[in-house]
Amino acid sequence: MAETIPSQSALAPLGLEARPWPEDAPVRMEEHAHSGKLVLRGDHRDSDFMNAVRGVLGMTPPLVPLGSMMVKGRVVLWLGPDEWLIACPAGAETALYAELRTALNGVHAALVDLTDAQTIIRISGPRARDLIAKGCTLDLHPHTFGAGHVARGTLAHAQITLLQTAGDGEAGSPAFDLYVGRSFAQHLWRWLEDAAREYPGGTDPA
Amino acid sequence: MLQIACPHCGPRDENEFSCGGEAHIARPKQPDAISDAEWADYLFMRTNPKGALAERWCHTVGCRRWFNVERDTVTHTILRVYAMGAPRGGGGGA
Repeated sequence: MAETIPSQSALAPLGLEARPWPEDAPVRMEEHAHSGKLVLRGDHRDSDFMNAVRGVLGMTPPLVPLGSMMVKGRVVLWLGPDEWLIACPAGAETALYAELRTALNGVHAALVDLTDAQTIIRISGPRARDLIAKGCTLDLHPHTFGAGHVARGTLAHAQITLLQTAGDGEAGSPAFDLYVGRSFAQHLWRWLEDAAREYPGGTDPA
Repeated sequence: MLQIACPHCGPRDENEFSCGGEAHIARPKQPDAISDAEWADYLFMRTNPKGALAERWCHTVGCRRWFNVERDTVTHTILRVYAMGAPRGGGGGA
């Protein structure tokens, strides 16, 4: 008999709610769990594919490398010339998946629900950029990497997708959404927590 | 550490990429019609030049796309980056 198992976030075993970050910390991190994530692949030169995607998303997916777009509470991230990650609010992914699947019926495309395969670590604060740069070879200088910028790379040996959600000028400090596979999430969180210790105000992982 | 200019993502460090060996090695159209020696030549023999070499590279942790790179095996200088399927064009080597 089928049982219903409640989904547990990738970082739930760490009990993060028991040790919140101080409001004035130069770096703050939180897990943004359970938000919907779909990976869409198809040829942008195929008008059937693009029309189907536009019909559902109400936008053309970003074609400029390393870009992202936000429409109707969803973020579409460029992952490759024929690959996009669609992030949507938690619980909305099932309906969006069905809608896209119907629209793409008969079209050469691939659609995969990665909602539970990855989690998002949100990093914000004036030293957020410095923290990520400690373990990442991406060029994160604000002239190169700004709000809306997406890049896949590695952070502390874990494969990540990094999206800058707020610019350095807005609200004083940048913010990043770091998508990581759930089996790497605990390692990455602990590594980040340790790397953040030099910024006073950060929680002590000990 | 090489810095390789991915045609999509721009310059990135070598450890984001995987090397797929020498480029432009065509698979025999009719493998069963050729001799073992010819098949072995296709499978194993590489030009191994001292100088310009065309290689296939994949941006594994980035956009996951394959492309060709012409690299000098002596100096590691990257001479050219070009699309999969494009002819090698100019350059020396074997």
